[in-house]
Amino acid sequence: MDGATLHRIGLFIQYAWPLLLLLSTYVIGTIIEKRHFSSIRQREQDCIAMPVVSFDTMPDDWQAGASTLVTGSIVISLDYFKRVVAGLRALFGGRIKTYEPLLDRARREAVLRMIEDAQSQGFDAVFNVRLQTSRLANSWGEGNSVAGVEMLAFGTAVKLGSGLAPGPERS
Amino acid sequence: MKHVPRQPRDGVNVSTTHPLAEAGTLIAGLAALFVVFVLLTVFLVEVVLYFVPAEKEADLFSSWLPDDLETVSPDDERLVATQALVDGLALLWPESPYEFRVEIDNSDVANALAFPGGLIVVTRGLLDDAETENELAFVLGHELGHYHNRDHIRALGRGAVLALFFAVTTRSDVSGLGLNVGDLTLRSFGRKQELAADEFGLALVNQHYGHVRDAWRMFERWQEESGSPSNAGAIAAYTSTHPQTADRIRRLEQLAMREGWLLDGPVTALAW
Amino acid sequence: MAGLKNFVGGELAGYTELLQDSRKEATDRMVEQARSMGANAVVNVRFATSSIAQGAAELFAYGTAVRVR
Repeated sequence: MDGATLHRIGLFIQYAWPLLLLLSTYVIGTIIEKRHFSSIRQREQDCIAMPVVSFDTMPDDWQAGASTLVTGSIVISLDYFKRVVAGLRALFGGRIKTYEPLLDRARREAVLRMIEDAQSQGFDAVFNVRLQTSRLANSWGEGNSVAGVEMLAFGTAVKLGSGLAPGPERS
Repeated sequence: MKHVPRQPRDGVNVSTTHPLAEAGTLIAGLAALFVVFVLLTVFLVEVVLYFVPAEKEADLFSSWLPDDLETVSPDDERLVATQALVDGLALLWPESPYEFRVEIDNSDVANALAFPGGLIVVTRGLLDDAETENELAFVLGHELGHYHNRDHIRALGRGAVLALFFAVTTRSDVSGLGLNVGDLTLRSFGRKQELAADEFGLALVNQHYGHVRDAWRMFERWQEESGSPSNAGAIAAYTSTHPQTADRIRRLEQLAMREGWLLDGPVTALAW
Repeated sequence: MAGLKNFVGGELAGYTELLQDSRKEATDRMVEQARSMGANAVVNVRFATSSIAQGAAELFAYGTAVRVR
């Protein structure tokens, strides 16, 4: 291999490598995302019958038997592609559109896990639902770089009294 | 209160912009910003060159010494001889406003550095390595070439703009620009500037001795010692600031032939 | 700009406007979701803001969609 070819390979490695990394993490991230979304949609459809509301006081016509705190949480990490785009956004400002599906997934998954927590314990409804986000810092970058995002959903699950359980109505 | 099981429309919280399109736009924006900075560099360098002519530079830095220099005693015979050689070469560049001072750095690595204001530092390693005066004269002439081409001030301008670019893009504290003169001017002359300095050095050597025999002998020796084929590390050559040695030798040979300089003549021995 | 304001103090007008616009956008999206389910009101709305990454913040608005007569 002569010098010119070596030099061309060297340049290619130097400049194409970061782009290749970006592209591959984008592709893998998108695949994972799509799969997660379809799983979320499926599970949302399954627990559509359970009332999950954000009222801070229990509605009058619910007669609660037992009640307990239920929580659901998820931690999602930011892939390299998203971090790079966000970094560039930090330079110019504006909406970081690549983060939106990530946080949407996190929120819906957290709520689903909370519902599943309630259902697995035999509860019928959840009220006073709150959502909380926090970021997890990485140990490198002086704790400034983001390792991931944690989404927490919590609420009060109740067992509804007989005859007053709100039934599903198809319309 | 009746619970009506319904699902909201999917995708409300997600924008329709394709992520690759967003990434592409941002990268294009960054590239445009970079181009602006490159143009700014060129402009700023010209401005600095205008405001800091060689005379002023010589005046400002006339007694400046870098901090990490370990010098030898002023009576050291090699220092005296090298200073005399530099003075002799400088005579061949009469318009030079500099009063060149030579210092010897106590390092084993063969190297020669040119600092703003006319301070030329050669390492002990270089003087140990040199076999003839002609070789040393070429190295010193090369350093004089940097002064002639105002390479320090150009590097200063480039370095300042680069520091500014990184400060803006990484959002670090502006005070961290800390323009350290030594760092900025010294270590980063571009490949073209090195080759131009080579040409100036060879011209001086030819004028001083009447021929260019052994001028680039030091390069050839490094070639032989490293034993590597001359085109290996072509990658490193392009991305480093010092042009590959074989390339430099070839260019010097071509220059000598173009100018019709004598390739043979009596070699002068070192004065120690 | 905000970095300089850290020294001087006072309201960061740029940030205020940015967050207000974002909050409005988040609320609009919440209302759109409610509408798509056939609701005509959203009750018990809560807002949350959190910092996601350096220089990036997430805003969300959530509530219960109801159909009132």
